Amino acid sequence: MARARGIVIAHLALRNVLRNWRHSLATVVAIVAGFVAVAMFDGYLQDLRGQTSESAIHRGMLGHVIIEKQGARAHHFEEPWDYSLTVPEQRFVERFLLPWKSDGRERAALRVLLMSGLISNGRSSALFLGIGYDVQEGLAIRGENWAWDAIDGKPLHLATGPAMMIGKGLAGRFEARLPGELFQLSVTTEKAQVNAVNLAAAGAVDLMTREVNDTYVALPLQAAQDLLDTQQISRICVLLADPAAAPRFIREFTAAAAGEGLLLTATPWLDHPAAATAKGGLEILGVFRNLFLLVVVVVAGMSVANTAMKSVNERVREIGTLRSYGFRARDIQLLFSLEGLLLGLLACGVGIAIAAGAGALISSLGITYEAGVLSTPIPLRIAMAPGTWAASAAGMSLITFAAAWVVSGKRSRLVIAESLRYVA
Amino acid sequence: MRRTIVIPTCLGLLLSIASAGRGLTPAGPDPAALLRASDRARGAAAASAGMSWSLNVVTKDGDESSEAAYTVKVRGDDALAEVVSPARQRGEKILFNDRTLWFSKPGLRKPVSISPRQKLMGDAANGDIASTRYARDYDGEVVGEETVNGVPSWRLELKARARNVTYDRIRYWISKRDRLGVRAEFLTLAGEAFKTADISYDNAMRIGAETFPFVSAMVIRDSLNTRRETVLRYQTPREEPHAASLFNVNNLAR
Repeated sequence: MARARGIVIAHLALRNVLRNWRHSLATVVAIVAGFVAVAMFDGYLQDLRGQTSESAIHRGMLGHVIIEKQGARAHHFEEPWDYSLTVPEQRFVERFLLPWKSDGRERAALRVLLMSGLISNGRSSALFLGIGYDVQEGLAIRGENWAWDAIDGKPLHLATGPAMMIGKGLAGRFEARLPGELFQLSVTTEKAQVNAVNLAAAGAVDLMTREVNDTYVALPLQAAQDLLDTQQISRICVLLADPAAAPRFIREFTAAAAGEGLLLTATPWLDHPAAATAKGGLEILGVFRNLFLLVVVVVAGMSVANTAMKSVNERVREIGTLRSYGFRARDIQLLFSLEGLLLGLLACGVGIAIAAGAGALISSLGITYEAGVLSTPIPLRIAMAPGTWAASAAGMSLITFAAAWVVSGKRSRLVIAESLRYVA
Repeated sequence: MRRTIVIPTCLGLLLSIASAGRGLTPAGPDPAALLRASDRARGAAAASAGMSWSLNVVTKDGDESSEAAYTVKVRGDDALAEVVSPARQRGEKILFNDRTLWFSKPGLRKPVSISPRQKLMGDAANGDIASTRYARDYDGEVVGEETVNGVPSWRLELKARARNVTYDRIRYWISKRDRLGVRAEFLTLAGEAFKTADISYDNAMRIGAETFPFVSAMVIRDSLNTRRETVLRYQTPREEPHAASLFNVNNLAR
């Protein structure tokens, strides 16, 4: 009986939606607009997240997990040598990584030594903040897409003889002729002595951020260690075959280090200060997105409620008739709510089609835009986001259902005779 | 947060204190004695209660040049340099407590320690060179004889005794006749020249009854950036007693 009643109500709801589509058009348009806006903004954010991850993990050679000394994130700049990995600590990490490497769960482990000092080409000089790194492991972590990381000259792994890479900004400042221009790097060593080395710049790289490009220098790890007269390194960046294995890697590493009494930490790349700019940008956009979502939900909800209210008021006598046939007040509410739900689903279907089409169109146009501290324009692309679409459709439909349920409550409980006499 | 301190051009003032002395081993000059003698003429005289002088520093970098003047007070291992000009920097002070450098300026509540990294840069680097204490910090070996700027000299290879001195190795030329350091090449760990200092001695210092030649100018050049040159001119050097409290870092900002 209840099932039959339900079928009748659903049938009535569908019939009403089709028959009164003109009345519902404004609501459908409002929902479609809200849906498309949310879906496209989320698609944009998804693409941006992808670009940011790619940029940090591969192009910036951060990997998925960063191993360093406890406290290094806060104190490395002031006390670099107290917060660097000693040779025994490096051996421990190598031992820990062995099984991960042998069964292919670790793709690359990049040793990095952070350094700072003065760079000069004989005509002028500037401060630099740079890294020494394993060139071959760096190549592995950058992958095919970023193996050629030089925007001028050539990458470090193709350089003949001792060489280094410099940031795009530094190259511009020195008007460097690449590859081959000779620079002198002077630093204070681990023992606080002055040391210097003359190295040719093989090429210039673009690390995306202006501030980094203006100071960046990269050289082979051995050359950096010789320059700083040290065997220590600052961190090890690990690229995993499966990024989802990062939490497990971190758990196992933390336990193993603690077991040996070593003060080492493993951090997901996004939680590391090296990714702070990326993370900050994404967080701000996330806040915008949530605000935006809130506005859309409120506007769509109010629009549906308004339309439903008008519709209910215009159909009070119909409510009376249905009640006189034996429909309960709750059935009437369900009827209006189902109408709202159907409208919501219809609007979301249209919204998905528009979002997919518009997203594909925008992505194909090759539009770029400048963003804050970034040195390179960002391509404007909208990712296809089925997950977002499904969630938005469910959310919107729920809103329409709930709004119609609420506004139809009062009229559906009117006395039947009163409903039948009702004049709008 | 990174902290950048612009260190006034002046560190080129501090001189060693190692006591002067002369000595020759039967086989040749005693390197330690040569270093002590040369240090005395750069301000490391066993001067009692202190010395003072004025210092004029001119830095040329291609077509650009800048100039600054300081008063320098020295006592034992410590030295204090205060900016006289340019006016915008007047009152800035740099205190050398042995190998530790402190910077202070009017309005700064506490002196700031100058890090080894900051000693890399320009004026601090020059100050480090000018204040090198060869006899105290380095072991020397006479490796030859050469003529530098027309002056017959002993050539010494110096190796740092401790690893925390700024330069691990130095090539040093000391005049045969007067035992004055006339040139120093500050080397990288790989043994390549990083900076060079040419020193001349047209001043005289009187300590008690003894008068001896005293540094009058030091010209410091980068090995790579040959367009850059810093000239330190020492003027009116004199023996002058200074209270020990003058060199106490706690008094620097007062």
